[in-house]
Amino acid sequence: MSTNKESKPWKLRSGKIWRHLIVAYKFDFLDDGRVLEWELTADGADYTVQTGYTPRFFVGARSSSVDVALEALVELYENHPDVAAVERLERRPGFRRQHESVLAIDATHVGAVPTLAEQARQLPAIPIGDVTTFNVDYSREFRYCLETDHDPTPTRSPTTLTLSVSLPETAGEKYGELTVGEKTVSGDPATILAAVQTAIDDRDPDVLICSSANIIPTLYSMADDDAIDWFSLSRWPDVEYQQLATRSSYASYGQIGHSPARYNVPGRVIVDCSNSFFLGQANLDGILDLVSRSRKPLQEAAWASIGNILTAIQICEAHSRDVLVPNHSWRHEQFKSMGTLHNADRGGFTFASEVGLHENVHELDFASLYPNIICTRNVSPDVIRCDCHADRSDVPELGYSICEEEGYLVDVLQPLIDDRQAIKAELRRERASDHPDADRIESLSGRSDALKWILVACFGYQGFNNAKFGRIECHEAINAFAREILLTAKDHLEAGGWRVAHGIVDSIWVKPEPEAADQQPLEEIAATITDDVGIELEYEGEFDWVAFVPQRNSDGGALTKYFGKHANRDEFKIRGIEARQRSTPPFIEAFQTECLDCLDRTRSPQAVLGLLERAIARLRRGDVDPAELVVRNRVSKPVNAYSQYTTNVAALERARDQGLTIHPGQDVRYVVVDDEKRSRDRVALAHESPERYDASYYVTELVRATESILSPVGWKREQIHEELEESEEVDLRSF
Amino acid sequence: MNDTNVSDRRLAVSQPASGAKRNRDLRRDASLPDGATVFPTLDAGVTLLDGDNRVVAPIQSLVIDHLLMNDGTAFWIDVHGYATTTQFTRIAPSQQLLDRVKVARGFTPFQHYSVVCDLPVAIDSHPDDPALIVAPALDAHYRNEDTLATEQAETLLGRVLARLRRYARAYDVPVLVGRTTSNLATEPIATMADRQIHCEQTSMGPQFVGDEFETTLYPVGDGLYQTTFAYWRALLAARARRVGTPIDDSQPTVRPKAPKPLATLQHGGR
Ligand SMILES: [Zn+2]
Repeated sequence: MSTNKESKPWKLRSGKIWRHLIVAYKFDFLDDGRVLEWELTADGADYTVQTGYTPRFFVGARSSSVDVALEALVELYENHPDVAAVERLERRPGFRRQHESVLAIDATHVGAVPTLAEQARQLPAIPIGDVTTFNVDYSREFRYCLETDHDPTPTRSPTTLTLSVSLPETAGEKYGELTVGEKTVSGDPATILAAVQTAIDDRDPDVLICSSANIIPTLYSMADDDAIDWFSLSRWPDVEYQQLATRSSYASYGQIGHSPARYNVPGRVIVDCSNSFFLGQANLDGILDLVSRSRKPLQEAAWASIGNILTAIQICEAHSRDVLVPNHSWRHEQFKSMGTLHNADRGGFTFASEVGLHENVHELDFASLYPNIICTRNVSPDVIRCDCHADRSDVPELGYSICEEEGYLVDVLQPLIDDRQAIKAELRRERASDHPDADRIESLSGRSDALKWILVACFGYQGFNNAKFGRIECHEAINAFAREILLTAKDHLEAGGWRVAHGIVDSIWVKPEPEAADQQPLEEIAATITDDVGIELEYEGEFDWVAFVPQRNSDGGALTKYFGKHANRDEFKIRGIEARQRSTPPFIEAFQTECLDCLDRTRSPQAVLGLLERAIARLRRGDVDPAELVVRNRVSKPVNAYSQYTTNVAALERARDQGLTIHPGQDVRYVVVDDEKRSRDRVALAHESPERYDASYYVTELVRATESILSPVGWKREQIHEELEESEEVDLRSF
Repeated sequence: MNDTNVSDRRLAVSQPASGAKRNRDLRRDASLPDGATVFPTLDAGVTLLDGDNRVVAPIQSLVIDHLLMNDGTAFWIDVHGYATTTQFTRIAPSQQLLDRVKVARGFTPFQHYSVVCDLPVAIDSHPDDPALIVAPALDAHYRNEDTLATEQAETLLGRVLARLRRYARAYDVPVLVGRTTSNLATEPIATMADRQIHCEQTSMGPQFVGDEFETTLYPVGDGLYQTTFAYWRALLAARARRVGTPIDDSQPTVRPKAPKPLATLQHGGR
């Protein structure tokens, strides 16, 4: 490999296969412009130093109808010290545009791109609105892979080392206890640093999995304070670590998000557990799968959101088609009649759920309904409402045309759908084999989960205002097709002697229609529907019973809350109720599960109420271990942004008093000890090992959990309370 | 004022001194309580509609009234859901009107600006003549400092306003615009407008007031038209009936009850 590339080392490809890609798994950007490329070897990693990397962005007309004098910008950029070169090139400024003349500006350093791009708007001769900047806000490593033909997929399974600290340890400037790999060490800084150093030297890990990225600067400052010069996490002698981003709040899709500071250690990948969606929802194998699809190297893929990954995959597709990626999307929806808008606004389809407990219920699911609609119906931003077939009406209810050319979104999503299917099939085979391999099952599950999230998000993404590649007309069309498909399915099912009890998004629950003479087998109907709509409807299985939970303050069904007992296996399916929520204390979760068992055995609300009475009595006697009552809540905003004094706020204030920092995105764990208090004494933090709790607070939680179980059979909270009071009176009389 | 017989055709009596054109219409229409004095006529040029709060129903009512009285299509550049179809279907006397309004929504300042720029393409490729251009809450996207620097936001808004003025002249149609708030930053919108109308809530119902116009017809206070929507819907239905637009069955068939003279509610005229 050459160590000195020419200044414009990349060529755009027209094909879609990444040919002749150079393999490297991690890239470090030094302040002087040099780039370290790290390649995994059999027993470690090797680096190549690249000089002369000049990241590139583009400036072009906002729309092909705008005539812009780009010459003025040529002069501006050519005289700029951070610019290496300016060039006129032909590129497509959008999926729906042909090649046009644009300016390509090569920066001297990857950090200079955003500022340089901003200057395209500052000439009076070219006011904002005339030009668009392209390929601007890419993450660094991703940009490098794209521009210099690198494939960031690791060539072997990366080795890892976990570094984690418990919450109380984050209070001070230094750690007194730290878990390194499987071993927890405690002691003075020298002891702790030595333990970390030994593990680093012994294992030479490719990936550092940290409970929080703050561990990196904290360890270095401990070394500094004690004048320890032998401590180093880096694989590159000249730079120990870099701060990539400071802790910040940002606005995204109308919500305020919070991201912790990010750090970089040359030669190694940092994965911050507190700042990795996919590590939480999938696992490292899932992230690695996304690395090869998105060309986002591991460190960037680990902290990426679903939207980041989906955008990156689409940028790769755009790149392969010579299409530039606008920094801001100026493309707007086309005019449509208010009548069309009215039809489009109806949203996703749901069958009115019949609240209550239904016996003998069967579930059928469309596999990846929305992505499959996109692929089978060719719903893609570049082909919807095309001009060349404007007289056609391809989308039901809306009358939009869809071009005969295949849309790029199909090329993006079809491989994801196919690969997830294949992974799921492999999973089934592995699980069914005589000696199932647990590691393999975990790896496959992680990959399947990671892909699931991307596929789930691809529909909503089309509706996001700021999604680079979204298009509201696609969002509307997907909904319209989904409504049509579900109605078709309903017709077939009813014709086969079944009655739809509930339907949401891509799932349908049916039971035998009492009026019908007999029922056509569901597998048969499912096959007919699959043929008819072109998307597989899978028979999920039978339930002895399913209960759909009504909304708290109305009689309508809460569409997403239900629970049921699988037929022929000892298992419940639970959605949306307390036992499924991660914040629910173990005691309440166990209680609710017990209620489900009880309801299954007895079908008797009175029996469930009996359980409630006993649980309340246990709570009131003080017989419940406070550890079973820990509430685990994810912090969504800084403590001063809460408008009400919730238990969460009390817990955050309490933590702050102890010098502990719990950032948004992290969990706060506490026991409610006195719900009447409006101070930090309302709660005790889990690590304080509280010995008491506020029984009446948890009684309320028990009643709420009971209501979820009994409301489908007609018991609301008021009736539960009345029943409790009556039985208390009986208790009193019996004394 | 207890006489609510529809055949009693006493109309609003207190007409503002100016509003000459409107008065001519009034005299011509004086035989029917069709709401003639409720909605101002939209003349060619830019009209700014201000209001005490979000003027969704007032804008929609003016658009519907204009479409009932004129041929052609309304082109609507929307932000923040002003073109809500739920509301529109409640007020419009005929669902046919839904197809005479073409909407494109700008969800970001960039998209909003582009819709305004591309409006001529939409108008020129449409078979019917434009009857009206609607652009509510013009400032809505140009105030968020997270998306745009103040100076850039001002530039974009300025270019939007210049284009709307140009369209008003080029197509010789009314351009109805709005803003979310009236302050220094949104002053250019008022400056650009040829005239201003204010819609305010009074104890007797919503009222439009402008230099040449003032709402003079009010619903009776017997509770039947207490809500803006029911009231305006009934008035617009009466109007539709008179101009021969078919009215949907689901629409109210009652006519506005005999209006209440305005003796007690005089505005000095602005
Ligand atoms: Zn076409």
